[in-house]
Amino acid sequence: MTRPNTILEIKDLHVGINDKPILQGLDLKLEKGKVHALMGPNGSGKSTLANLLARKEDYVVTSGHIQYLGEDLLTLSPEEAAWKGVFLSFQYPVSIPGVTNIQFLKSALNATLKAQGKPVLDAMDFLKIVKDKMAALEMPEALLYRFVNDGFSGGEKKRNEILQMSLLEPTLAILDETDSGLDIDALKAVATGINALRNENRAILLITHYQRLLSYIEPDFVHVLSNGKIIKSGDKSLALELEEKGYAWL
Amino acid sequence: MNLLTPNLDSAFKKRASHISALSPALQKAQSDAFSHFHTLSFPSNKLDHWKYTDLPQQSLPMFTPPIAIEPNVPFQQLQSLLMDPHSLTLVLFSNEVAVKTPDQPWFSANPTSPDWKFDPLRHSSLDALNMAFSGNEFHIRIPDHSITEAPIYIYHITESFQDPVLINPRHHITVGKNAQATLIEVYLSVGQSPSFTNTVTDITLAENACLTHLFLQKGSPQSLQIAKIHIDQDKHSQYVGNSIMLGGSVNRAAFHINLNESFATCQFSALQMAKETQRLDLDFCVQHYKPNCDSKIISRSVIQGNGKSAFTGKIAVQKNATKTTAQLENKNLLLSATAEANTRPQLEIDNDDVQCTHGATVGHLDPDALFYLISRGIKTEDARQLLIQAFIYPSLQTLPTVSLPYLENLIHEY
Repeated sequence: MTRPNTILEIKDLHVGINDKPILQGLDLKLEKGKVHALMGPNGSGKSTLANLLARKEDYVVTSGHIQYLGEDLLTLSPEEAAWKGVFLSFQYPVSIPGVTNIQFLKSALNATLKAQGKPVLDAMDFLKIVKDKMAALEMPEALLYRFVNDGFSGGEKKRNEILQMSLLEPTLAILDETDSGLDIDALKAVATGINALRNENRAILLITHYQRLLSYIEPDFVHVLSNGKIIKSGDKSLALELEEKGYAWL
Repeated sequence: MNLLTPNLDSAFKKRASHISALSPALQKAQSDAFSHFHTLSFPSNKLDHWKYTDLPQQSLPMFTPPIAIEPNVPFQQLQSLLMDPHSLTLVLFSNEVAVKTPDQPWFSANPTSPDWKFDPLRHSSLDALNMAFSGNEFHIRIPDHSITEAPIYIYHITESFQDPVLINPRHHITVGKNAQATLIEVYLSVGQSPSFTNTVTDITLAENACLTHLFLQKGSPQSLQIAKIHIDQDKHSQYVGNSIMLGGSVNRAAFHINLNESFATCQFSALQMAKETQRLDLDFCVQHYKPNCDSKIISRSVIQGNGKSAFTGKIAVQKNATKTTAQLENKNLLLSATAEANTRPQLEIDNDDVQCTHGATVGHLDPDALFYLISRGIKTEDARQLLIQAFIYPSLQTLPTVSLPYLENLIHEY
């Protein structure tokens, strides 16, 4: 039985792609209000987990299960998962020339509000909300009228991801290497944005290679993923230790 | 006579007795044209340029030109078909003038000119068929130095309620020196029976003339719409062309553009959207005859169901056409396993001092982009629509502004 403050509970998860096993007995529990950092070497399965949680279809779950808010997450389509509050900040956000950012953001927010049974926003209300949130992320308004991620710098793409997160107000936010490709200033701005979105009802899973992000966003827990399972968990000091010694000692 | 077309033959005879006003010269020209048509027969996919267009050969001889039509259209029905009911407008119903806004010095309907001479390089069998049955030619003449602010609309509505009809419109558009105009041609087919609209349009741009042109073909599921558009451009003239095809059983437009003098530019955008069993064919040829001309062709096709599209795009640069710049791009989006796109971009370059690029792609919706949109809560069908909209976006950039809301609606319904 899942406890009321548990958002996500993964038990003995085995996942493969094209007959190649990737996650091999993963256990993980995320609770309300907590930030979990997931670290691990390349190829350990971090992005597979992130994409699976957002319900990308490419994967085959061979055993185990994922409970999200008491429901079997694996029965949900990507849009249903989004409506129920699952959000993935992509490592490589896709650019879509021909669709403006404002059209994309408004479609996403209104589709989600509608599915949640809430009133949708008209153009004026939406513009006011999105402009406020962009100001907080130090994003120029011009990015609204450009095509989705098209010609965006690395920093602009990641800020745009955090903007989507702040608009959609997810219950479970998975941030896949949000720090990759960012300079120090962009990293600080993105970290500030994420910290502003920490609250007592939300769980955040931060996937990262480096301790650097964690000095701006302090995690409650740190997990190390290796060969498809979590081999060590601890508090933020584990991240510092990993930074110093690498993954080999584990 | 090696082609069995009893309906056409008797229609041709009857027609001569109905239209007594035909001059002997025109009768001769039309009779020549009809015999050329018989020699050449209907085009089939044995011809290279018709390779991917399957005309219903069995039923082609059934299409018959109507002898006399009373354009009798309920005004309200007409209004609903128009893009902008308040603009300068010419509405042709099965090639007869149904509505014409008054005081149009630029428009005239003249008897077909008898000086037609068959030229095998320029005239196809359907050109000859068009000539053979042509009674009136519609002329739009924009005088030198005049700038027409409002677009000129020609609506061509082919109505077919019983027997399969064949309609042969002939249009001449002349834009004078330093003149500017926007021309919107809309070809619609209405009615439950098969119809065949066989259009020939000649456009001439004088020195420094500028024409923005939209050629929209929107057929009914029983209609064949075939068009040949021949464009001649003088020095420093600018032609901005747009072709939009939204179905019909078979739709084909052949644009042949001659850049006859230096510094002429042609910018052309095309969109084809096919579904069910529709066949859409864009045949495009631009000839660079003189130095310093520029041509740019962008085309997009979206094909679903058992639809089939064809694109033949040729840029030919003659020996003395140095400093030519030319760009040719055709992209095709297949939305079903049975959709088919055929694309043939061609360059024929006869000198070294040119910059020409060409490219063609055939593909599906990008699954990563689709997942990105859906993962934000956008429903799969809406996400697909957004990506289709993004795909066709580059082909809609040179449209007359006034046509955009109308077209966006049409495309969205599609």
